[in-house]
Amino acid sequence: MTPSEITNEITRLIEEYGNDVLRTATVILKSKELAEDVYQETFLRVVRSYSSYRRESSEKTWIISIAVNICRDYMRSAWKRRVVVTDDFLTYSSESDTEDIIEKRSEKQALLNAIMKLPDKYREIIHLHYYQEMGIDDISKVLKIPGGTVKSRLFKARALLHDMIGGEAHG
Amino acid sequence: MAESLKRKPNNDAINDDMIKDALKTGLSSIKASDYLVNKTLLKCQEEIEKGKQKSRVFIPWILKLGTPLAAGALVLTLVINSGNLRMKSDSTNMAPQASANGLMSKFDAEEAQIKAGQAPAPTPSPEESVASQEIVDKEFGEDIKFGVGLTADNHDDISGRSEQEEKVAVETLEPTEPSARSKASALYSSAKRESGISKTSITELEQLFTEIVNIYNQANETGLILNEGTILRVTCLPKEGVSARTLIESEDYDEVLSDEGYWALPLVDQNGNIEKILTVCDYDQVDPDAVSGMDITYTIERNKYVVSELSVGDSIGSDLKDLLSEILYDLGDIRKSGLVIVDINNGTDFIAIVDMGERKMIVPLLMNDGIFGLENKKIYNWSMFTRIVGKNLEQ
Repeated sequence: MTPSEITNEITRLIEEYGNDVLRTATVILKSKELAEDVYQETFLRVVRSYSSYRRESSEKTWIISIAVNICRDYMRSAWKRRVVVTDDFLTYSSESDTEDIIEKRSEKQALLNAIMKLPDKYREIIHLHYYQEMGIDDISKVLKIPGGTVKSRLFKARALLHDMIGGEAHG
Repeated sequence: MAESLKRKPNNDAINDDMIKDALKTGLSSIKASDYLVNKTLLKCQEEIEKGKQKSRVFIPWILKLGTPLAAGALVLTLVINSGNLRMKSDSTNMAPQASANGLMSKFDAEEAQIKAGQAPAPTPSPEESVASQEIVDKEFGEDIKFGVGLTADNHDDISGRSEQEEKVAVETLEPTEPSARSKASALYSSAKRESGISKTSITELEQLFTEIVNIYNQANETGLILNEGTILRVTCLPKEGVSARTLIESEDYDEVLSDEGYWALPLVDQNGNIEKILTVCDYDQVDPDAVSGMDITYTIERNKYVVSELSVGDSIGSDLKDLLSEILYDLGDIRKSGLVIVDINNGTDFIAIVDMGERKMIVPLLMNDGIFGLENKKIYNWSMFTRIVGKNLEQ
């Protein structure tokens, strides 16, 4: 491919998957600033490894996999310790609404906050499964863990969420 | 669509739809700003331009991430070749001598292509491949003496872990750009290296490596295992590099090697699959400019070590993982095989050398297939190797 063709392709990938990368990094790192760094680094790595991408997995799985790896590198590094992590930056808008809607929004917010408070390995798997709508096989590839581990972590994550807010929200 | 969970907690207060809904609503406001998109595009364009200019040199991102992996890939590839050799030599009727002739013919053809300014043909014919493999099988047989030697000492059980943890400091160094010393006119190895690599006993270092892996596992909440017999010694070229002229004029590989290098540790999961590769070298001997933000220093018993990691999540990592898994599966124990692994391109491309005295077999193990005019996993003799690479560097 010529450099201009690669540029066009990268532009397409950024447009198509950029927000997925940013959201994934935000959930994993719980930091908008770091997520933006991951966003840039992810697509730089996409450029560098584009020629070796063999399309054995979908583009989305490939790119999210790169992003998750970078997030993990960040989490291991001292950068994470220098960053103030917030659990409640994902807040819904507070337009005036009916009481019912406000109550539902409140439930969603509580659930979201609970997800963000999950341990890292459960939070990332919940995000990949429920938000990115990845199947067990794709998650297994992205996280490089066996399918059985994916399933057990998902189960455990749900159980933790239930413990955190289930009884509270539903009596 | 995501697969639904088969098992659910008894109380179904939280269902799949609620989780999806909460995430989608909560994350919908997170979008890359135009500034971020444009800034990223600009960086990508610079990277593409840089890659275009350095097409024959090396890939900086692997310099940061891939030193250990590449080392592993080298070993793997050679092992694979050796394993396949034996299997194929049993089942083929190809004559070894004919194979050797075929090899030289291909070299001559490649040389002609180089002279004509063309890239060498990327893939040998099946006949040539089998023939090349047979040469190694027949000539090396079981007598291969490997340059990587390990003892069978068992260091699985490291006691006093909590005490060790107190001694351990994990810190990250600031990222640096790859050194500008890489030029297309010479071969360079990774700058993350230590001296005396050939004299250092892997046996003596095994416990250290085990501790490093333990610390790594603790820090990352993983349970990866460093199997005995899988530690790799990677030899580096001199820091100033090896010029085309030096390479062409050399009569033997030891004329261009330094006594510096680093160690590569393939880590496997409970199922024996390679999950990570770590490279390790003595921090005190490393050029600070070579250490990137992705490297970590481990302090053990007051000594510091630079540890680099390559994830196997990206496509190159996956390739290496598969390659390493296959090699280790076939070989079982690398210490029983004979290899000198040399980093010829900043931790991204390697050659494996099998030295049988009069005969030296050179096998490129490349992440960048075709680099320096070499063909991945093809068997060269020293003369062929130096002529091809030398001419390629001079172009």
